[in-house]
Parts: sequence; C-alpha cells; structure tokens
Amino acid sequence: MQRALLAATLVLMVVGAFALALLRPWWFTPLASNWGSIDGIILLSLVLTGLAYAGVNLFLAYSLARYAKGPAQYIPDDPLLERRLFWFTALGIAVLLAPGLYFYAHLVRPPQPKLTVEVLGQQWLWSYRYPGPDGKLGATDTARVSPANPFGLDPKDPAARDDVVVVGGPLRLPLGMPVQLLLRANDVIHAFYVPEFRIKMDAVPGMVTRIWLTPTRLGAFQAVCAEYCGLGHARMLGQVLVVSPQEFQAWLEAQPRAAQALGQ
Amino acid sequence: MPRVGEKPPAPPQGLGGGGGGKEGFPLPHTGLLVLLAALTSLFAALVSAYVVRMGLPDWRSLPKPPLLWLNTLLLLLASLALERGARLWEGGALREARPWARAGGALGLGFLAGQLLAWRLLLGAGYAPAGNPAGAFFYLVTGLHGLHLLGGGVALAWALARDGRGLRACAWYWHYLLGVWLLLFALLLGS
Amino acid sequence: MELPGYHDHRIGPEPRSFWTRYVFSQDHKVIALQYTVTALLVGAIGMVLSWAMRLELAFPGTLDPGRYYQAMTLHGMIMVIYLLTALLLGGFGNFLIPLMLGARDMAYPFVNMLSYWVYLLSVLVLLASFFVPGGPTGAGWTLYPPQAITRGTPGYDWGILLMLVSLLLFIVAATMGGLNYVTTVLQLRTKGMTLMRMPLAVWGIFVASVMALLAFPALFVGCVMMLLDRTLHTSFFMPAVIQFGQRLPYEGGSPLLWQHLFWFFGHPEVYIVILPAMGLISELVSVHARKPIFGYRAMVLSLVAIAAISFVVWAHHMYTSGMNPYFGFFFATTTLIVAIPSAIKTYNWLLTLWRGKVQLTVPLLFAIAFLNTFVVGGLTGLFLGNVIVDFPLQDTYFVVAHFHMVMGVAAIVAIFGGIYHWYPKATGRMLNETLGRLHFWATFVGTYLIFFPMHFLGLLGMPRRYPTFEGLTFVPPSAHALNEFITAVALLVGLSQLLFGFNLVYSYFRGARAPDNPWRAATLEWQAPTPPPHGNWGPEPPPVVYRWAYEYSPPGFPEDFIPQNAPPVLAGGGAEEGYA
Repeated sequence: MQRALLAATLVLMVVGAFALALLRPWWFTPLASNWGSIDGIILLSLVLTGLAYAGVNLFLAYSLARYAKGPAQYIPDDPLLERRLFWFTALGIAVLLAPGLYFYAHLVRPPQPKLTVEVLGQQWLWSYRYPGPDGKLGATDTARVSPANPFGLDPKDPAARDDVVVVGGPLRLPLGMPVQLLLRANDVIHAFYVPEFRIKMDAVPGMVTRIWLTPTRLGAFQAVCAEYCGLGHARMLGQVLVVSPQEFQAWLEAQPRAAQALGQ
Repeated sequence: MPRVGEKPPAPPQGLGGGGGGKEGFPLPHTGLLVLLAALTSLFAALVSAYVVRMGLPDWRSLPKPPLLWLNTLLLLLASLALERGARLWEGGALREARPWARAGGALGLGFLAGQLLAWRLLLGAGYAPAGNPAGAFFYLVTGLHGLHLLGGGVALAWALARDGRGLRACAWYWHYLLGVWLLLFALLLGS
Repeated sequence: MELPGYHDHRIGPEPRSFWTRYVFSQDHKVIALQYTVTALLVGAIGMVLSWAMRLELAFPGTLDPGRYYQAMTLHGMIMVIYLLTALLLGGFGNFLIPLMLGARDMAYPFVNMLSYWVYLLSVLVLLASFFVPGGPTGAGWTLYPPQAITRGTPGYDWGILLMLVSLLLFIVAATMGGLNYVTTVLQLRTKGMTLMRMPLAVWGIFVASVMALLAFPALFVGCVMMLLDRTLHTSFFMPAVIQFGQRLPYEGGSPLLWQHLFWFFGHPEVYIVILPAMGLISELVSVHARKPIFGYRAMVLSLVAIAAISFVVWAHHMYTSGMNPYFGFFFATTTLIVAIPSAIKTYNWLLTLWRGKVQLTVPLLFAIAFLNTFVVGGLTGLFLGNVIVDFPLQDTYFVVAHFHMVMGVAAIVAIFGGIYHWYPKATGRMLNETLGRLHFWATFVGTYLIFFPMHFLGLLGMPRRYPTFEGLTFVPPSAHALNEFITAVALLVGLSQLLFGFNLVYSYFRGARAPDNPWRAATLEWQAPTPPPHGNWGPEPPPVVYRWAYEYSPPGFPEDFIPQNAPPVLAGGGAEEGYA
C-alpha cells in the first residue's frame, strides 16, 4: 500500500513539474531586449532536464513497485552499460554547453555601442550619467564625491561639464540602439537588473564593470538591485523607460548639464 | 558466521580475497604530512592573495629591515640544531639529543623575537598596517607564519617532556616552516 | 589494558570516571554523539530562524529588515557549516570510520576530543552574537565586503567580529578532525581491508575530509584579512568607500579578492557536504535492496573526480561579479563537466535498486527522497552553471531553490536516513517505525512543495535576499499567495521534525531492543557488539576482512549476504580459487 503510494507520489511529482512548466503561472517577464537567446537556452535546458527528471523518477517508481519481493540479482557492474551512460551524459552536457558558450561570446564582445550610459549604485538608489554632445563621459574622482555630486565629477573637466546626471532615475534608453552600461558604486556592491532585459551586472566600488544590451520594446520597466547591499536592498528600485530615439534625443537635449547642476 | 557446503561466489575482480593493506609511513608522520598539506593550502591562499594585491596600482614597496636576514639565519640554524637532535634521538641517544633540541627551540624563539623586533622597527618608521597594502601584508604574512612556528614550539616542548617522542615530527614541521619562510621572504624582497 | 590490533597503535585503557567516559571522552563513538547532538540542536535553531524568515516573506512587516537579514545570515551559516559539515564529518565520520574499517579508534584520539570542544566553542561564540550590541551580523552567509563591515548592514560592529572568530575556531576544529579521519583511513585499516574494499560511506567521508583540509584554509585567510580590515582598517578587501556622505578610512582594496577566496573554499564546501551524504546513500541503497552497489569502482572514481574538479569551478558563483568576463568560458565548462560524475553516481544508485529486493524500510524511504531531490537540485545546477543562463537567474529564487534542494533537502534526508539506519548499532534500540514513516512523508512531500515552485519564481526574476516584494511591479499577486502557501508548508514541515526529535529521545529509553545486525548488512560495524564497547571489538583481535563490502544476494548461497569478515569456506579442503 505504501509502496504504491510512494510510486504514485514520485509520478505525481513529475506531473506537477511538467504542469508548472506548461501552465506557467510564473514565467519569464516579456522580453524587452536582444537577449532572447537566453530564453531559448533556458527552454532547451528545461526540455532536457525535464526528460531526465521524468526518466529518473519513473525508473525509481517502477523499480520500487516491481522489485518488492526479490530475490535480488547479483549484478555488481556492467562495463558496457556504464560506458554508454557516460557518453550519453557527456553528450547531454555538450548540447547544453555549446549554445551557452556561443551566445555568451556575444555578451563578452559587444558591438560598437551607439550609446554609453553610466549607472551608479549607492545605498539605496540608482543614478545615471549620460555623455553630453561631445559623446564622452567626463573624468571622475572619489575625492569629489558628495551628496550634490554623487558621480564625483570634476567641474573643470570640459568632458564632464556637459554630462547629464539623473539622480534617482528614471533611466531613459532609446529603442533599437545597442547601449553599453558602465556600472559603478560608491559604497558597497550592488547589481543592476531589469528582468525584461534578462542581463544583470554587479556594480563594485573601486571598479567599473560593464554590460551591454539593445532594448527591443517600448515601455516602462523596473530595475531592482540584485546583490545584497544592506538594509535598504529591497527598496533599491528604479524605473527604466524605453522610448523612441527621437524622444530620447529631445529629452537628453532638454536636460540641465552637470556644469549647471554643480553651480559652475 | 554463515556456513555452507558449496564454495561461495567470488566477488568482482580485484575487490575480493587477498592479503592485508600496504605498509605505509609510521603513524606519526602520515598525520604530519596531512597537516602539512592543509598548511600548504593556507600559505598558497596567502601567497596568491598577496600576488593579486601586489598587482593593483596603489602598491608601494616596503623597506625591508636588514634584521630579517638575521632572523632567517636564526631559523636556519634552528632547523639544523633540531635535525641533529632528532637524528640523535632516533639513534637512541636521548641525553645527547636534548641539548640540540633545546638549542633548536631557543633559536626558533630567537627568530620570533627578531620578527617582533622587525615589526617594531617598521611601525616606528611609520609603516602601520592600515593605509599601506604592502605593510598590511607584511604583518599578516609574518604574523601567520610566526603563530604556526609558535605552535611548533609548544609541540617541541611537549615532545621533550615526553622523552623525545614526536621529536622527528617536530623537526620536519620546523623544516617545513623554514621552507615556507624562505618562500615568503623571497616574495617580500621581490615586492 | 592493551588491546591487540594489527598496527602500532595503542588506545588507552577504558576510562573510569564520569568525566572521562561521557564528557572529555577520547572514544570516537562518544565524540560522534557529541558532534551529532550539538549539530542537531544548533540546526534546530537554524530552522527556527528560517521560520522567522518565512513569516516575514508571507506577512511583510513581521520583522524589520535588519532582523530579517540577521536571521537569514545565521540560518545560512548555521545550516551549511555548523549543522551539515559538522554532522556529516564530525558525527558520521567519527562513528563510522573506525568501526567500518575494523580499527579500535581514530589515529589521534586526544586531538579528536579537542576537535569537538573547539567546535562547541565555535558554536557558542556564534550564538553569543545574539547578545552583543547590534546583534548578529546580517551580512549574508557569504559575508561580502564592503557591506559586511560597514554601517548599513546589521551587526557590522560586533556581530561580524564574532562570526569571523567563530569561523576561525571552526576551521581549527575541522582541521583537527580531518587529520584524524584521513590518517585513520590511510593507516588503521584492519588486516584485509584494502582501500578498494572500503565501504563507500568511508570513501565519501575520506574524500570530503581531504577536500576540507585543502579548502578551509582559503576561508581562514579570508576571515583573518576581513578581521584586519574591520579592526585595524587595513584595505585587503576595502576600496575607497563613500557611504552616507562619509569617506571611510579605506583605499585600494579589492572586494573581488574576498569573493575568490570565499568561493575557492565555498564551492568545495558544498561537495564536502554532499560527498559523505552520497556515501551514506550507497550504503542505504545496497543494504535495503539486498543488492551489491552497482559499479563500485566507478563510484569511487566519481567521488575522486568530483572532489578534484570541484576545486576549479568556484567562479561560477561570480559570473555577474565584474570579474574578467573571459573566465566565464572556463568556469562554465568545468562546472558542467562536474555534473558527469554526479550523474554516473545517480545512474548507479538507480541500477542498484533495479532487480533488487527493494524493502521500504525507513532508511530506504529517505534514500529515495535523496535520489529524487538530489536529481532536481543537480539538474537545476546545469542552468546556473551555464554562464549566460546565469545572467537572468543569478540572485533570484532560482538559486535559492537550487541550493535548498541539494543542501537543504538532499543532504538532510541523507542524514535522516543514516540516523535511522545506524541508530540501532549506536544505541542498541530501534527507532519507532510509525513515527519514522510520518517523518518521511511530511519531510519529503513538504520540502517538494516548498522548493519546487520557487524555481519558477526565479524564472520570473524575483530577487533573493528581499524581506518584502512591495513595490516590485513585475511580481504578480499569485506570487505573494505562493509565498503564503510556502510559509504554511514550511511551518508544518518544521513541526514534523519534532516527531524525529521525540523519536530519537523516546526510543533511546523505550525503543525495541535491536539485534546486532537488524538490517543484515555486510559491513564491519555490524559485526561489533551493540553498542560497541571501548576499543570496538572487545579483547579479541579486530575482524579480518576477506571481501568487498557489498556481497548481497550472492547466487547459490543460502544467506542473502556475506559479511566482509566471513572467512572463505573451502569445499572439501580445496584451494581458494576465484578470489583475486
């Protein structure tokens, strides 16, 4: 009786797993970037691991139901079977790894970005910096960081004077243009993550990290902090707006320059 | 115990019948080798952290007090003395071994005292652990090494109190720490 | 009293006083019990902390964020280090190794005893952090700088100090223990017990102990450096930090250096936990299915391969850390490769049950729970290890689901199975079967309901280490409802562990008397008296071994097992042919 119950439970677990994957009460957020390849690899992984899970549990359920009375057979090994299972597994691993590394290579070698935006994490809000008409982000220095100047811009540097600083966001990005995000932090490690964009990256004090994407959908999204950063970690939310390139350009030109903000 | 009239089946090839296990090292030394493996991991982690930190732009070289050379000599002599003591003890001459072992211990303590003095010299010259990565690493590296040597000194004292049992293991431990020190010293000199 | 043996290893006479028999005992069996009881008690504290976390997740506002993070940190650290590692190595390792190898005790009984007391001290130091100003550290069990030692994280002043000191003490204890386990396996096996005749439980614990000796030092170095950063304001890990408008007295350090040191330890650590568990499962499956473990040689090789490869996968915890992105190619490859020996082991357990005589005893029920959950956890590791897939999933509930499946469920149910299996030998009593079955069903079904749906919350993008999801626009109300459901199940599963605790204590006094070998197992520990006395084998020499540990259902033999020490029976005085 318990045997049948256990076998049934194992089967039900597989059914439950497949049901969750097919009915999808909780699933990816709708994609808004060029990183749809990640979704593809996750789906491939779900199929392969789902089959493996089903195989294991059904085998387990069968074995315990069928082999209750014995006598057991003395089978200490089976070199041929073991070799086959080894190669079968290695093949499965290769099928997962190959596309994973292929698309990772795209992530590691960004195209020439049309736009570079700096993302600053601080306890506990996100701020952003855009290059001005000169297309360059100005130099920064931790010694100059202050509440009024969270990026630590040098007011005398011409490349910095025309930058646009947006403290607390929102982050505006133009549709369809590859954008490189440069991430920095002033205090502790944070991570910038927009689920619809799929990718995330840590912002580490003392370093500049980077990640790139091309927004593919207009809309308003939410950025969350994805690296534990203290008491306000769950409150470090930001807004991300993907707008048309014209709207983006118009907005950028209308913003006050850093020189004005620093009173210079 | 099961009894049977027929021959029982044979276990898989290589896993069945046969003689006893291989003879290994005598008991005290296998344990020491295992301990030294763990310590090697410790000092390897330390050295890699050192090398990584050394590569960052704010590294400023530290002056090395010439005292460190004297300390190195003391540690070398300590190893030699302890080795002599261990060999005498292995030959059954406990009475002759004791003064050598004690000399080794004293020289080791001399090394430690010299290291502490080197610390005072550097601190006096303004090289505090904070604000100076090379300084911080110097104190950390010499501190961890010194603490392990001190532990070895305690083990040595205990071995002497037990009529020299464990003296050979102590000597090898001491030699190991000498080797580690030579490596660490070379690293310090080269950075 | 000198007990005869096969090695130049003397154990002392039987202790006489209460203190030397039960408190400061050098007997590996007493030390095993001390480790087990301490680990289970501190684990219970860890479980209560998880209830606090679950209450906050279901009913946001129950705890303030500081308390949530303190509970989260202590829960994680207690479970991984002070429960799982201590119980598997210190508890099972101490009990099983000498008995399964035919030894009288460990190689260095005095050091072994010390290792327990240093472990206990490390536990007390950790628990003391509840009583210091600011409370325990809330830095997460990964203790990443700079947040671990700066304002903005609870316990950044006293709590983190006690945590670091506690870890240093634990590492000393683990080294003293590991020294014993490794040396005993190498040197104190009884006559006839070659390495390839050792039970897989010993192999698992042995390989894990070697790993521990090589991995813990990296954590030791990291903790010392963080202590110096915190107390002397060195800058090993601390870059220039401007926090809440203030410039802190640090400069030039690298937070990533901590991550490399921590994970160089941290990844092998999880295998240090799972390898002994795998060893235990091999015993449970073969004994209770009356069938030799399938592919013993491959099982041993897999343990060693997992151990070796696990030292070169660590940066899969750092794919999104900002480290050199090219490292991702290397670590993704090694990480997915380490799945292969784990898969081999899984196939071999399944093939052991195949055509066996599968008796649904309580230990085997827990072994089946292990197989199910280890497979789930292992398979989700393939998602996270594949570098680009980790980018959306890192720091989401997918990771939480993954590591709870392997560490929080698989390792724990292996421990439960092991306790139900060896309790009769250790105490001379059988555990109550009905309570055992109830415990199994509640734990197995309950943990599945808690952790399986979490994978999907991770696919959604729900971040981890959040006490509340207020304000997250992409999280639907159904996810909040799921959180409430999970909390309810978690509390029920937690309560059902009381059945287990009660069973352990009640059966000690009132349980049915256990025969010497209730499971009819072939390994040596079952040949010792029940419970084994001082020196394990009495005044007779220890058993001599003639075969491997898995002679179950040998064809043509009236018994369905042959103990390792049963002498080969010669038919008509003939030669011992057939034995290699």
